[in-house]
Amino acid sequence: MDTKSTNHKKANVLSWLCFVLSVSILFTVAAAAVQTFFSGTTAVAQAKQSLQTALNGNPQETAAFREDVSQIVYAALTDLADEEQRGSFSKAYPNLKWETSNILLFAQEDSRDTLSNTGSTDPESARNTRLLQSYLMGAPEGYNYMLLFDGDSLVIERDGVRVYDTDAMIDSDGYRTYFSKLADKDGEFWEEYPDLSDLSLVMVVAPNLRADRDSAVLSDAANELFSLQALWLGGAAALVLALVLFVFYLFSRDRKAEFDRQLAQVSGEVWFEIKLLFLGWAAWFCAQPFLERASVRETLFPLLLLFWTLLFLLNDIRYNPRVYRHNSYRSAKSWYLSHQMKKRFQQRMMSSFALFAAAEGILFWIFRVIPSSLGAWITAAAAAVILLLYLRHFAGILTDFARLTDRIAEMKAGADAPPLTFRAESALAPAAEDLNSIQSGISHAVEDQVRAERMKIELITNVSHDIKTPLTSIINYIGLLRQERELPEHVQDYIEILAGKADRLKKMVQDIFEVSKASTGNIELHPEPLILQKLIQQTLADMEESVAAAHLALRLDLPQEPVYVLTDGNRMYRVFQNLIRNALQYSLEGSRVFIQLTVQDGTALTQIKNTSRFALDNLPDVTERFVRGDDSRSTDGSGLGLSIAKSFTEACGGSFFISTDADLFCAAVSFPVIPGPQPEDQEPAPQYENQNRQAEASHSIAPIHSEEQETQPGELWQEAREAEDPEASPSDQLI
Amino acid sequence: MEKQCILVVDDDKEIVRAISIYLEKEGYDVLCAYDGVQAVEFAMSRNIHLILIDVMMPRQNGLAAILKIRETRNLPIIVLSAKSEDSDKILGLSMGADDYITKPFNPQELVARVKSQLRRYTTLGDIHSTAQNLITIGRLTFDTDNHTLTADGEPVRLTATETKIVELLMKNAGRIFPAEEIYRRVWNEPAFSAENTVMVHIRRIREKIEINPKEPEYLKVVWGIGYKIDKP
Repeated sequence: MDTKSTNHKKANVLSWLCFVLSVSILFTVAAAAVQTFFSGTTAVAQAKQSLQTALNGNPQETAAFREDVSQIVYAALTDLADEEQRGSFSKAYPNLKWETSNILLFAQEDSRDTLSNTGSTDPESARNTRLLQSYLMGAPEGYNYMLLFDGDSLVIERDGVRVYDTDAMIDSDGYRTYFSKLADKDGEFWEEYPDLSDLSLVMVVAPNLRADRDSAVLSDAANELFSLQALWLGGAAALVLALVLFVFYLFSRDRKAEFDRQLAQVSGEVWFEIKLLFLGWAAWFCAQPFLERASVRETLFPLLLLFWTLLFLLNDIRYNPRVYRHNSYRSAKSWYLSHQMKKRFQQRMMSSFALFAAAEGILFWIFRVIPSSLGAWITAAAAAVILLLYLRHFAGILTDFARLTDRIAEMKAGADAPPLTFRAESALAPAAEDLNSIQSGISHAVEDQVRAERMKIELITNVSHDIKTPLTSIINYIGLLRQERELPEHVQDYIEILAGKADRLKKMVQDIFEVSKASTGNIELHPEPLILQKLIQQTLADMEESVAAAHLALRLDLPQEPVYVLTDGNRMYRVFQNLIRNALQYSLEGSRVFIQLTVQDGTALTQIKNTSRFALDNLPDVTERFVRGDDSRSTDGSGLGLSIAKSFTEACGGSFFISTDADLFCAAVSFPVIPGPQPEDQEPAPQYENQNRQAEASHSIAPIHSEEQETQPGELWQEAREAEDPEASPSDQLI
Repeated sequence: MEKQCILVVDDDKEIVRAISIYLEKEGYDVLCAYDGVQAVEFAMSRNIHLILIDVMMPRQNGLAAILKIRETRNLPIIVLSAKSEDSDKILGLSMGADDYITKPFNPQELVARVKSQLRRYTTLGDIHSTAQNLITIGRLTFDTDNHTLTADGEPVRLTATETKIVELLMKNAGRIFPAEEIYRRVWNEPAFSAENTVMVHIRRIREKIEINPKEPEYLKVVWGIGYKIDKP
């Protein structure tokens, strides 16, 4: 794995290097070609010639050779033509001995003065004679190059081919520039040395500037040839190399792209202005030699530099989105902000104000001190910009403040909103983050709670199911036992006790199930508009037997107008049933139980008040499941009655509360009142006048015809019913 | 008359045993099964008149067994379940059960329901088709000519007032009558202390027509509104 990644890295670098090298070489070659091309036709011709020379490999074709030859010729001619210059030639070319040199030279002035390197100044000597006959017989053996000056024209033959002739205007090797002074008879040179016409000069040169001879004089030519050959060969080799490398790069483009990405990662860390500065410097560096019209060699490096700088920046832009964003200003800002964020909010505000005030103070000082009016204007403008920036910053804080407070209000209202996101540089960003984490904490807590509740429901459902199955057997077999008639009486008593307890257990299981469902909002509700008075009266009528059995007086105080509420009748029946049962069970014997319904501010409040048989001080929260006022748990009931009442009421959209005052126990159920249905599609609204009832101890509920008659005892409900409905008595004849 | 055979299915053997004792006392033949697969086998192979079946059982669940049995057999099926929620009841009934009894149940109620289902299954079929002046709601049938009520085909003895109330409610099955209206239309006098009076009669009627008067199926109190007779 590790070696693989290092191999990858190596491959990346290699591919990238291939690309850079090949492109650099190609670029160099192209730059040289372009520059040559744009430098004019002579440059192109020169290039062609130099290529030719390099290919031919003959140093006699080089420019250095031509220059050397021309200098030797000039030196020899001036030596002879000017008395004062006599001997200057041998001074300039002290080593030009024929034995060691590639050159044989003989010059004479009307046969009076001669100059030669042949070791003899006598024209009659054998070597000189042969030399002088060169014009007719060609160059002597061992020499292939011949230059003749006869005081008028100059002729050069190389390998028997005339390459230069001032008369015939031949110049295939490019000698014209070197011999222009000599060719121009009206020029300065002839003016200075008019005796030139008396001079003649013969010079021959050995082919290829033989290495066994001292070639000091003409070494330039050999050097030039070598460098030309090196240039062209090297150039060709470089081109081939570049192409090979480029092909290699093409095959590993992905690797190179990988390295580009890595490079961009590194370059992304550099501030944008530094890149710009570098680019500017490279451009300047490149522009200078251009402006000075320097040679290819001098321009090339800056050009390459510029080229690669541009490529590098393009790579940067390609892989780093919005490169300009990473600059010193932003870095400084984020550094400042991160530094600031560690401080408290107030400190942050103070320090940002201090920064603003300091900047404005400095600018004001500059404004006062600065002599020029332009400078003053610029200072004032800068001060205004800073003021605007500060105000913008401040406005941003205010906006964020508003969002933050709005969110707090939303959270309070329980709205589930996405997390608050502020700009990172906002002074309130940490507060928003804190709020977000509080929010997520709350929602986590709520989720946990919901999950816990669900698990509780599941547990209770399962447990109640598991209890129900054995309970079924218990109840069934108790039933079978009950049918056994031969059992002794005391055993039958025991069985009755078992039957009662089993029934109670059954009720408790059902109650536990219901209350746990209701308290977690898992019950199905069918809310509909109903009349509260009716509900209470129906409940009382339904419980008539237990009401009658309790030695209590029940006082009903219901308003005459029907009070409509929107709720689930079945559940509310259970609520009132439980509350009344509670009152019946725990009331002091002979005391009165009050059931009052009042409407105030659109709320229907039903209160059931009774005087407790037990002292109510230190009353635990009786609406908690299984909590009972007496603690003894000996009496009937599951202890879930008030809990059911509370959870059902709340599930149905009402509110439930319990208050105690000395021995007075008051359970209150309140619901919002809704408008009654339209009269036309409903029975005439029932009137509740004359329906307040009162029941005295040991009596059933008796209807009371008016408030004044409230205390009138003795009129039993039973009697009233029989009076109204004689058929309803048990002695009714059956159909 | 041939003894009617009841299939009792529950994975709890003691419950099956207790139920079979009760049913045998009432003169039925009882066949016991302890899982759904066995229940389906018996239902297919034996001459069975009614099935009492538990829901949560090994091998095959009660509801699946009911579906299977219902494919071929049309006989009353009563579900016995510890699941007491409305949604469970609705599910059971929609699977093809005729009644749903929640555990722990009262054995007398169980027997009464079995009897009710059997009577409807065996005897009620022809009554439906013949008479036109009959109002039938579930187990209840009211003869508007003779002003008589039968439950599971057996006459119910009602007082005159009770009969009037039942007639009013059954003729307008499903409609909710406030106590005042019942009072006005039955007693023919203005409503006065109607709620108590009507409620007392309603409770008496329930005791006569309902299998379990504490959990009425037909004559229902619509709390805070009134009373109605409706299909269970």
